[in-house]
Amino acid sequence: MPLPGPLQDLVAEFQRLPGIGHKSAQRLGLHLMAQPVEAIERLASVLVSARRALSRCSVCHDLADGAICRICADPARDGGLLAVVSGTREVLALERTREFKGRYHVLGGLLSPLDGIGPEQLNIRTLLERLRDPALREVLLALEPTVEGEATTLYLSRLLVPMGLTCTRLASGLSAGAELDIVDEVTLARAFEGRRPIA
Amino acid sequence: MLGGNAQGKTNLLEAVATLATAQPPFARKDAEVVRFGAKDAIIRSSLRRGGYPLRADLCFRTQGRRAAQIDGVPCRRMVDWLGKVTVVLFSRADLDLIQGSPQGRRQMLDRIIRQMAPLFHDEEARWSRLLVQRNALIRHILTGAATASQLEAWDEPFAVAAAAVSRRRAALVRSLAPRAERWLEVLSGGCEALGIGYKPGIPGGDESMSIEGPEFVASVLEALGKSRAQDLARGHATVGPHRDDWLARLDGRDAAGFASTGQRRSIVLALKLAERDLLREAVGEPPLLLLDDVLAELDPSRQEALLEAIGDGVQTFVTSTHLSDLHGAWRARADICQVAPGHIARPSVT
Repeated sequence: MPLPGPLQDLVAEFQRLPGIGHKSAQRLGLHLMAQPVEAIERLASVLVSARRALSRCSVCHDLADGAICRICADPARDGGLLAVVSGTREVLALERTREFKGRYHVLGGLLSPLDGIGPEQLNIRTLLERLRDPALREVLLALEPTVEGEATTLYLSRLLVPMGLTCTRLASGLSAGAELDIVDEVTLARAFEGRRPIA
Repeated sequence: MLGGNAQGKTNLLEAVATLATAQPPFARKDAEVVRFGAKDAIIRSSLRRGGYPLRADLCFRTQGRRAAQIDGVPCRRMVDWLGKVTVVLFSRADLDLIQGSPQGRRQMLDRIIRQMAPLFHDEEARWSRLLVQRNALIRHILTGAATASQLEAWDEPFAVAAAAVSRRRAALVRSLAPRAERWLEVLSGGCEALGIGYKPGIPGGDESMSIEGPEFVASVLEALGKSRAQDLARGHATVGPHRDDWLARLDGRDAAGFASTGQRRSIVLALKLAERDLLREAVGEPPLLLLDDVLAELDPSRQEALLEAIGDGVQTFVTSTHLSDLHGAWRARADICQVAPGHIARPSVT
């Protein structure tokens, strides 16, 4: 049975969201249509005002509710350490560790010619400007170990290393508490490749 | 498996071969193995490995990812599937291996590597993703949407991934060669000397090229630099594993040009037997042998040599249109099944 037209439009919109397939979209649509109109109005106005209130931080390009995001505005963060990440999700992931006390630079994606993303489409120019800061000791390229992440890491390291900066990247290999016989072959092979001497 | 053409004999062997690599041997896309009008194709198998029963099921879809189950448990990654079944597939198309396209010769190597090295699955995927991305960049450069200097970020990962794939193939040829050479000596009664060498897909790359160690990555990088103008002119990468090849030589001369049809068939047969030996050594159990419509193409003496080489304890699937194509010794040892459209009946006429 086809859905009523307006509901179909709604389901189609939901389906464009990441991680939402047809069934989930339909479920969300039906759930919302069962709510009182006031609840829907509240949701719609929250959506619009959130989008209106948020913009990009003028320093690191992460999402911010002002001109500058909270991390860039925090004087307690270590200005000597800068993590370059692809997006906000990666900032959140590093923040959850509570170990990283430095600052961020959000590229807004990774190099991917297939998707038409080259260096011009990423926030690289502003990154190079930030690197002039004499307080900076180390740049951590915290990009994912995919084909696109590695190409971006390499592209940036070519720009950064000649500037005399200490350039690091995340280690890849075993996850914490992993049992060797359960780890998949690819990860284990990487960990083997990146083995290091003890003491 | 006895039956006329287009009755489903090859289909059965194809299904068994697919169990080994989770990739249909003759299809380019998963959708090609699904019956027209249907949504998916399922292979269900009951096997015995090392004396233990095993159930392995594969599902291919016209849309979406393939799914695999071992003993009813879904495989999260394809790596968990690989290595459960090993096969040597010998089909009519293989008879053209020596004088056929380099692509056919590469595919032959890759089918073996997928069975021996589960990691190859990832290495191949990585390499082909890099090839696609780098070719996309080349097209952007041609339209002026990108600058040639951007290639540098892709050349190094490309070279590393390319070297990983070429290394696997070179190592396989190195271990396959002496075994195939020994088999040809047996098949030809010691008259013919076979030599097999690997040719990496970079300009000037030859069999003597050192493929181990970081110097090979450096050679690929150097070749990429040199071929840049050509890559840009053609709009795609002209250097890399997609240009790899191997050569068979008979008594020192290129077999593609000089060997007779019969000699080329012997070489292919020697290679298949070498493949069988290698898989058995690597896995500890003999692989299944699938002979698709080829027995009729081998003369009685080669059929006999093959039967002797197979020995006991190797499950072998043979398809043929006529029982008379099979040498008497083959017929005596076979369970003969009739294949009619869509179903297989046994036992049958002898």
